[in-house]
Amino acid sequence: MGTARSHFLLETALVSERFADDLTPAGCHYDIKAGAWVVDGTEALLVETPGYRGPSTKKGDIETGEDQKSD
Amino acid sequence: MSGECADLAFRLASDSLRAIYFRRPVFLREPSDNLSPEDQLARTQWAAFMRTFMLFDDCRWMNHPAATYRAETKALQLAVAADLGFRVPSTMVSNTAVALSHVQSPIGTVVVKSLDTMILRQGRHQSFSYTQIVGVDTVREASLASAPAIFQQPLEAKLDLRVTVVGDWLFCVSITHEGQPIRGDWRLEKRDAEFAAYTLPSAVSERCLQLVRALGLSFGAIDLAFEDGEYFFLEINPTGEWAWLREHAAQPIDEAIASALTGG
Repeated sequence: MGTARSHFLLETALVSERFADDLTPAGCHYDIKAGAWVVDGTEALLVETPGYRGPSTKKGDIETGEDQKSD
Repeated sequence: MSGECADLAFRLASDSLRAIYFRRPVFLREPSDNLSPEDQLARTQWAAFMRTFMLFDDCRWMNHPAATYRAETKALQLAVAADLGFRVPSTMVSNTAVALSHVQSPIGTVVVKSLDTMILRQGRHQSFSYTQIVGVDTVREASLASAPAIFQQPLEAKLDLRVTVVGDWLFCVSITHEGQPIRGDWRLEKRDAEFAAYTLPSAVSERCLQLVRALGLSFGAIDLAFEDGEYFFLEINPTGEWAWLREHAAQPIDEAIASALTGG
């Protein structure tokens, strides 16, 4: 018997490397009390640093459609 | 409700909580062989803790989880949009190709897309299903039985528009590549695409605002398509991405979100 053919959506899906799940900005940590990302060592607010690159979002700003509703 | 996190004690109560920005409404319930019982317990129970925020009906939600869950149903989105006067592509949900004649184009093509986001993980790789325009014959020969999908009337010469609604604010951009509309799914061209501010007719803008309200949302990322002088509704994403529009199209969506959450 031959192998069953994959579903059309699987056959035509774009396969890529998974992006890193850890979206922590380099050299920073999240200060829960401040409610903001701060720079390691100096404790300056990331948004006020010259190298701040603007807001990013929950998926590293990769537009892949809707969220997964399960894990 | 109360708790502790990183030495910070907190208490949530209806007399002090003003707004909730539920940015990533994941639903962590499925057990995972890769997690310890302790981690499975923590993930499932903290997820339920966050859902318990639904107690706070009086605060500003962006978006309420129940509304998000309902609004992410694509066929329902299309029905609500059509009721509001949007043109919508003819659409069929099925796991067979027997009735494609209802949605195919005159040149024998059809849109195929997943009914829910299809992002599948396999080790270091992931598979993602984008919207495709394909020949009807190809679909008829394909394997479909194991899962339903959406089949839709193609808009072959559309101009893509992304409308981001935040409360009463509306931001619209056109999406092109080298100045030309993008055939098929523009997300495949996202790195090279151009995003430019676009002014919708006031009636279409108002319809977008009405749609978000009708779905019980305060934020929605709407995909429209402009073709032959008409605006088609394609879909709305209650948790859509927006940050790149701040960077690439100078759309102050972040400021609108902050204002909406603080009652500004």
